[in-house]
Amino acid sequence: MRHRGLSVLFTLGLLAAAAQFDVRAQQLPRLDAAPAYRFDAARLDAIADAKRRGLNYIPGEVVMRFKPGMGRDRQQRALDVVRSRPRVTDLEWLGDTAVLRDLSQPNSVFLAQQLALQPEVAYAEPNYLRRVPVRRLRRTVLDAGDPTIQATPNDPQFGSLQWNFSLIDMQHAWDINPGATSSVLVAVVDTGITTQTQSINFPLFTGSSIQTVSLPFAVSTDLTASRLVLPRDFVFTTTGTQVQDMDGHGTHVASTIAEDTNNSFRAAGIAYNVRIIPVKACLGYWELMIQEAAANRPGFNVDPDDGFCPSAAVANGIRYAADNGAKVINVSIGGPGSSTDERNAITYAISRGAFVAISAGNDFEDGNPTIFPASFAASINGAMSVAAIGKSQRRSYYSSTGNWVEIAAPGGDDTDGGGQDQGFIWQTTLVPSDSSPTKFVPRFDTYATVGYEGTSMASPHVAGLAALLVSQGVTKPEAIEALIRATAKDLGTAGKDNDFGYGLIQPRAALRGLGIRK
Amino acid sequence: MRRVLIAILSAAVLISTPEIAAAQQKPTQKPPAPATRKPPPPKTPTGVRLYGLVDFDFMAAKQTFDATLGSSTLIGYGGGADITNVWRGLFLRAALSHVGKSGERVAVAGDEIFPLGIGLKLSMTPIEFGAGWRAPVGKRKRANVYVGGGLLLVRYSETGDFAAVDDDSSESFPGSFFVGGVDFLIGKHLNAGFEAQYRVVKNAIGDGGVSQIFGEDDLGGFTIRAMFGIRK
Repeated sequence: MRHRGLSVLFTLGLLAAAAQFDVRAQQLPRLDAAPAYRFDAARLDAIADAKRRGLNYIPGEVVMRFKPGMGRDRQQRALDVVRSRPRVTDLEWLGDTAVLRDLSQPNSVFLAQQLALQPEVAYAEPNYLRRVPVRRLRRTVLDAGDPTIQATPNDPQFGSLQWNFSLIDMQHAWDINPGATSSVLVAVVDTGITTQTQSINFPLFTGSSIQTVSLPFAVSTDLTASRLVLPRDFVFTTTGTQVQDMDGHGTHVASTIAEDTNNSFRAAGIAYNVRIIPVKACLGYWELMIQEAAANRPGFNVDPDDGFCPSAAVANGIRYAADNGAKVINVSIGGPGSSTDERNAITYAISRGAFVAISAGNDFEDGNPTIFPASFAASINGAMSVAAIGKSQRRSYYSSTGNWVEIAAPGGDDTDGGGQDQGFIWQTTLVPSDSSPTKFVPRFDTYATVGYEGTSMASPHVAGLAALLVSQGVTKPEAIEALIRATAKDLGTAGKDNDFGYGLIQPRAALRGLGIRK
Repeated sequence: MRRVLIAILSAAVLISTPEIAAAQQKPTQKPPAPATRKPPPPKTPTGVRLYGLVDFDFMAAKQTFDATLGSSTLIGYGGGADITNVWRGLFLRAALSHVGKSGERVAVAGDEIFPLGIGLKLSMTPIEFGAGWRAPVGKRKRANVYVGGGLLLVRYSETGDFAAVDDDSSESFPGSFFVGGVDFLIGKHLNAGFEAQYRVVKNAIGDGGVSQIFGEDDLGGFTIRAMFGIRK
């Protein structure tokens, strides 16, 4: 009897302890299930191969679209021309576009040519590698809330740092249209914008081994979370429903367009009432390091500048934005290699009523190649390619030139003008030192006002202006382009030129529209 | 010799016979009546016509005005004076009218117009100096038809909301006009009339704004005018 009683007590005690343990377990942060990453080991090897050989596409990958009405049998017939005989089920579908991966044939150009000849195929092209055209200032980060500056708006860094807005007379533009409205959706196709404050577990090589680390993310302190809607990731994870910025570029671009303004905090944005659709189409250093670790490949296998944006992801990002109500799309991404997929995505977006602003490229000093998708813009009404200027309204030293350049906007130029702003474009984004590749374990929850320069920074000025025009009733992308062009301030050679296009955007004049004579 | 003389005499008689006959008849004609001159028509005195007017202007720059003002038909009010019968029906004219209309600044894409909610005000004052010919018509000659032409000076002003320096426009443009009309006397001195004008004011607009997009540079057009006043 006594033993039985003790047994009961012991059992109850165990049960109580177990219950207590369960309670504690429930109190622990729930570990996120490891997402499936889009870039497995084979794909990462292909990227490394591309880098070694100086290729502008992912080896063994082709973006293709079948003609309408092609059933599965016909699609398979087209694929049968490929030596490795891929199956239709092997294709990675993104809407009506498919990505074929054939690692046995790394020459994507040859592979695309084979497929393009098939009667069932509308087009096939390599999956090009795009870049984000930015030159970053990694050194200087200013603290928020400089109390000595009085400016309009009341954001303290507007007067001291945001020479770009004064240059284009945004103050008077805001007199006409104070920041657009929340009914306007602007998509930023880029490295992403963090939409949730949370910590996420990722595998990461931390210097000695691959470990699971908890990386903190936070929404930008000057970009209200409720203004970030319908996020979509086309490049990092297969689920794609969450977006995090592990680079800072996407957040900086979005901040030029829409940073919270008149909140007595940090800096201002142009269309500060719009809502932003974060579309992640680019991978940076940390995404690649995570995917290397997920593929069980320890080591620092990624260079700091190895980030890229597959053209298929860019195109699908544009289509997604158009399908989800974006009236303005910013694409601060580019590279050599003409992509029919990207061009089709741009024309599709315009047909859905979205104006597309595209950075013209930072490659003037690197041979000044034709940059895509920017170079499509000159032949598409409703899309504009944007060059960069500095404080003196000279072309920024890096800004690509060509007959595809249509318009110019401030992009920053540290060789042009000094002062506190050093000629850069300042917006709130991730603190570079905290997300730097020099860290073993980064963090993505700290923000400050950071200076960048590039045509990446120029393009969102045009996107922000387009958003203001949309809110004023200019609902057709072609009309937005026509108005921006008609009211631009001519720079350089009289008329349209390869450096500045039609000239420097003039938001006040554009918002004021056209009268009879002026 | 005798025969020759007889022939010569006979010819002479034959030649002179009609004159002899005529000479004999002359005393029987009445002498012609002395020539009379028609009396000169009574001279129409030089007169003056003063009038108020209403213009219906159908602007040549149709697309431009439709886009910005909502209509390319503008209504003007004014007055003028004609000096009639200066010389053989010649008349001289000086007149002016004024048009004022509000609209909106716009964006344009192809044929589509997007109003931007930014107010725009147009003010135009065409001043006419012209001449022509009038002729009375009708049994009682209480009506006159006339044609003519002359020079125009259009004072043009365009203002808009949120304007900065140099955004607004105020300028005068020369042009010309051609006119044809009819007026008729009512009672002893009252006068009413209608006329049609064709105005040309080239290179006035078209260097910017909507007019540049549509390639329209003429501030003229076709005008129908109604007039009422006094004639003396």
